[in-house]
Amino acid sequence: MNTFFKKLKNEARHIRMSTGEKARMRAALFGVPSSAQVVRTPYVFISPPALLRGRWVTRSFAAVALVAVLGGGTAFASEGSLPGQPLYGVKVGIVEPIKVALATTPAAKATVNAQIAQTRVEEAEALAQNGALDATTSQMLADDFDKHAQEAQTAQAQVAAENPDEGTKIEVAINSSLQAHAAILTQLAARDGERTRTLATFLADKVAARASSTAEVAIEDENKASGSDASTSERMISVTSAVRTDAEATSSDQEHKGGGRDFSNLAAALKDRAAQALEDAQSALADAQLSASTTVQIQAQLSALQGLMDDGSAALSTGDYAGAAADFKAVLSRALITQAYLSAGQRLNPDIVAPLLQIHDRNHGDGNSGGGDSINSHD
Amino acid sequence: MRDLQVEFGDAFERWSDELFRHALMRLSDRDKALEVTQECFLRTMQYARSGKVIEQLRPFLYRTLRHLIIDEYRRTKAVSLEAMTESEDGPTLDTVLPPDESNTLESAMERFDAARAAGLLTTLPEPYREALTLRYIDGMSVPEVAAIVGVSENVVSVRVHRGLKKLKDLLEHE
Repeated sequence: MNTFFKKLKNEARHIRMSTGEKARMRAALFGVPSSAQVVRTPYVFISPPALLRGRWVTRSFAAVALVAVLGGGTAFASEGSLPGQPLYGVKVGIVEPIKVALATTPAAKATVNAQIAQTRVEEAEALAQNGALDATTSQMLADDFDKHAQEAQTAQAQVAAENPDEGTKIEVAINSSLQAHAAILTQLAARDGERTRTLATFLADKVAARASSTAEVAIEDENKASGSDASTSERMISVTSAVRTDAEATSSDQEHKGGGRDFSNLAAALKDRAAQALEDAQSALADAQLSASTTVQIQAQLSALQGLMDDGSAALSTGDYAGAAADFKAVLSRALITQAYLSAGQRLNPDIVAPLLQIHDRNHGDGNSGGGDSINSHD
Repeated sequence: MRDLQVEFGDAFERWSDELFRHALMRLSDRDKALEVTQECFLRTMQYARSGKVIEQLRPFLYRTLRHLIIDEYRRTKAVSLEAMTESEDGPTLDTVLPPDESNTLESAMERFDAARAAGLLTTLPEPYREALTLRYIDGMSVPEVAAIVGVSENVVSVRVHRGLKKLKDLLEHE
């Protein structure tokens, strides 16, 4: 296919669902019981056959009644509301409980609760960005975040017990989101006044505490590597090393217990998910309004991740499934985190992206995007 | 047997954006594109849960999406199915193109701006819009397009060729 058609295809790649649209569709589809039909409102499913089954009646009629009273438009309009705004009560008191009620499988419960936890954090980020975060709101957001994060992790553990490979994929998604948002809140805390700094740091600590030990090891190693001026590829290698060590330790531990895990399926599943996440990160970068210098450096980071994908594929071809799984897991985690940072840049402020990704933005001269120290400041 | 929820979860992560993109290119209405994309997954999941076998999921999803798009056209534009599937092709559809002609036309597109072309593509009449979207936006081969649309490969080649000609005319005269 010649250059024009490649460019045409690339141009069209910008046409995609927003993160919110995709999340709503995902939650609606995978919290649905069998034989469901679509009701023409934003992504609320009611199942006519299910209405005849006793255990669904109360839940389904409640959902129908609430949607009928509110109208699909109100529910939809409440999606972006923040604490203190008129529709926020609709969002947290009606729309979100309906989504939770309609999530019937452990995987759907993990997804929906993780999304709601993430929404609480994004609300905190928006308020912090505007200097509008107060102690009462912080505590409310932290408590609700904790509640839904706990539900998500409990559901993820149930999935992992039945299907370890699927559990791993969900765990990586949840932990990547937690890592990214802890960093975003920390970055916001570094930029603003004392009150915002204190409250944002409080929330950042809450979020970071939820991340798994594997993720914490990866962050620690990555920060060590970045402190020593390591190149991007060296940082990636140190992250991979931490994750790979953990994966091999888990594998060895299970073998000693007589329950060796088959990593071949996990490696294949993680490969697909990692490839998609890397592609999504490329698209997010194409959409981001960043300086040329920052864009080039992020592209270099994504190219390093592609190199890790190639390493994983090589490991797969030699039968080193645990190693391949570790590589793909590292790529998936990093690609999801990069997407979260780029999304934060669009939601909040493009200047936040460079320090989050440990990039020196030459357009800003000193690499710092605001007053005060940041965790990733460069000298 | 692999859990259907897991399988469709993976399918959603892999293909929901490209299916949405295809729907939006065809319908030019974001809400409707979101709705048919969602309905596409839902109906396919129901089909699979009823015990029927789906040999290849991606083309199946595209065929389902196509039917939903046609239903949407009927609902809003009162266009006959025959009009949408034949248009200017006429009753004789087995025109064989000399290989050079399509290659020359594709080469001639090189000088145009791809961004403008993507926008103008959505204004083409059916079935050219469908053929070009499947072929160049969704990246399908001619045999794959033929399998999804349910016509012969020759018909697909004719539609792609005519669609490119119309697109080229639009780009030259805009």
